[in-house]
Amino acid sequence: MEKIKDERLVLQNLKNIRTAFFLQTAGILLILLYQLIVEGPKSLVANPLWILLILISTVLIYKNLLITDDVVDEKTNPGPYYRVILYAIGLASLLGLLVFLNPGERVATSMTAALIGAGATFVCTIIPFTIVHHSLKKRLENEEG
Amino acid sequence: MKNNVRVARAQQGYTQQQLAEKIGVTRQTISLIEKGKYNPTLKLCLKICYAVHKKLDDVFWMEKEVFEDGKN
Repeated sequence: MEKIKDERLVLQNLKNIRTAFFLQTAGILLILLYQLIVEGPKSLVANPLWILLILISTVLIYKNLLITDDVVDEKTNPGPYYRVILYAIGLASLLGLLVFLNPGERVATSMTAALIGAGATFVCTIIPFTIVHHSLKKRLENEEG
Repeated sequence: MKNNVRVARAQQGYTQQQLAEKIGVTRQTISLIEKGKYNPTLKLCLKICYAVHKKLDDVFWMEKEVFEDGKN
């Protein structure tokens, strides 16, 4: 197939992909809903489609983070990056402590549970915060430049 | 949006197909631009202007009243 160079057709192609994406996501949701009703939540999370849906949603949310930054009208100074790291460490420590005090039954020790909880919180906090931080910084640079 | 692409193209003696080939788009895109049914990007506007040896103002400019009357 020949590569599309015409900007109108490129745009049309993107619109087609969007339609296909909506249909595909709706299909995945319907399949998962059916599985949830018929087989229950345990079977639902074991389905690879569930992981796919989470992955797609995560990518979409991260990409949209960069768009919503531009909608905000204020010129926000993101401050130094170490503050982001401190926030993430603070939040991770707090959650780690909570898990340490109430570890549940699935893990070997309270410390393991706390480390897993804190680690996951740290990763899940640092990534979006970093993206927003860099995006705000870049926007500030562009407005000043 | 209204424009003078059709006039400018005719002045150079190009067919829609010839202009389309010159700037690397399809004939249908030129046709839609001439009818005002597709708004080209600034990059494509410039390509059209270079091809018909006109300035952007001559081909795509319109008065504010015409622009705001909602028919474009």
